[in-house]
Amino acid sequence: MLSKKVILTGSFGVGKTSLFERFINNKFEDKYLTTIGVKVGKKLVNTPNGDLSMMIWDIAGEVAQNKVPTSYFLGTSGIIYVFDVSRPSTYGNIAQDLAYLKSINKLTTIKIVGNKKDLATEAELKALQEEIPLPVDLFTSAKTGENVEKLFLDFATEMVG
Amino acid sequence: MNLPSSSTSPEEEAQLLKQLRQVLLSEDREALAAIREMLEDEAQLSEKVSPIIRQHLAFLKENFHEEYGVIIEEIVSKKLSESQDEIVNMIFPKLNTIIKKFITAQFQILKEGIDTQIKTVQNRFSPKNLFNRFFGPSDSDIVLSQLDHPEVHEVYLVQRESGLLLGSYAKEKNTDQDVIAGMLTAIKSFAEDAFNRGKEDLEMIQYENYKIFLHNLPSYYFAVAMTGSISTSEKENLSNKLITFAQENVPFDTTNVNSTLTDRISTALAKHFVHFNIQE
Repeated sequence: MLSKKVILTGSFGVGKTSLFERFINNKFEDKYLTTIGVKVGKKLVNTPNGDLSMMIWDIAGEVAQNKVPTSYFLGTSGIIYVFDVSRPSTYGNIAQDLAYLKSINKLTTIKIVGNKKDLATEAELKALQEEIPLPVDLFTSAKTGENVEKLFLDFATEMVG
Repeated sequence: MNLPSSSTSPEEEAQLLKQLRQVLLSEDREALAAIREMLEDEAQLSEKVSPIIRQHLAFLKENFHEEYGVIIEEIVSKKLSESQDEIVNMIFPKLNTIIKKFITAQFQILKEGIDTQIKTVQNRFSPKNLFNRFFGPSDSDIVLSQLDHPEVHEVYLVQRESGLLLGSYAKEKNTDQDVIAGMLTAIKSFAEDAFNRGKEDLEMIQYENYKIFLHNLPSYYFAVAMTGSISTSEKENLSNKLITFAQENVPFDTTNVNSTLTDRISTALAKHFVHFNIQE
């Protein structure tokens, strides 16, 4: 079984820790507790391409990605860039953030995820997708659990394959 | 004074009552004016009140405990029992620092005392002692290590950049070692980034009696969790052991971390460290 490192990053309060908790422990907490530094968790994922031990680093949110210690990104196989669909400030810098992440992790796969989809209608999500300059890979809701398993499973399948 | 007769008019009655009030209340009014004057004049008021206050203060000074002691004790006792956590939080850090300083100072005194005694008594010119003096552990290191024997509890081999676990050995397995390897790497990365020590490595993490020694190599690092006092020569023994282990058991390319690799390294770690005596 392979082991890979995946990073959850993005602005603060977008729900990175909620996605982490939902995927690893299948639980959701309504109250907001800011992440200090980084939290590491593990989940064994069975994919059609083989099993994967996914080491997930939930990094403290920053308004811009160049403020995150670069060493956190070293040796990572995948980055999940999370934004909050209900807060435009969390995807305002998405182009610059993604350019920066690609510059420091040339070979890493990056997924763009819009979280808190339970707070928006389908029409709003469609409009949002047109507004954002980069394609959003998936809209998720850590609260309801919608698309969370799919996000990590798809990513794991890509990494193993 | 003319008393009202049944034939007096209401105007006359009012006039008569006014006169009567003036006669009856004139003394009271004068007394009231005097009191007001005294209250409004600070000097006069002070002259009257100060002796009373001084007298009462003197009384309290003599009899405070009898008068208010029980009440104050009850209030303080109640407050203390309600605020135990706050008091502990306030006192503990200071107490802890004082105790640590004291123990460190005592150890230093002990170490110096041992050194002095050994230097005085020992035959410093025998060939064996001369050799040990230059190439072996110091006398104080030997005595101290016997007092607080160092013991290796856990060994981790971790990929340097990703924090992925390449192998581990633990006397008692009770936590997820993959997560420990990740968190150790995160702490290491944070410390190295935070203090702008990009080219330098974090070498030790200490938690109460637990020490985690980090031995850094180009693409991976060892983390050794241990208890006890470790001397410089023991640290060197440990480093040599880790380097030898790496040369014999860790493949040159550790880019792809998989369970076959980690199982193989973990088995080798257990074989090397289960009976490892750091002092040998």
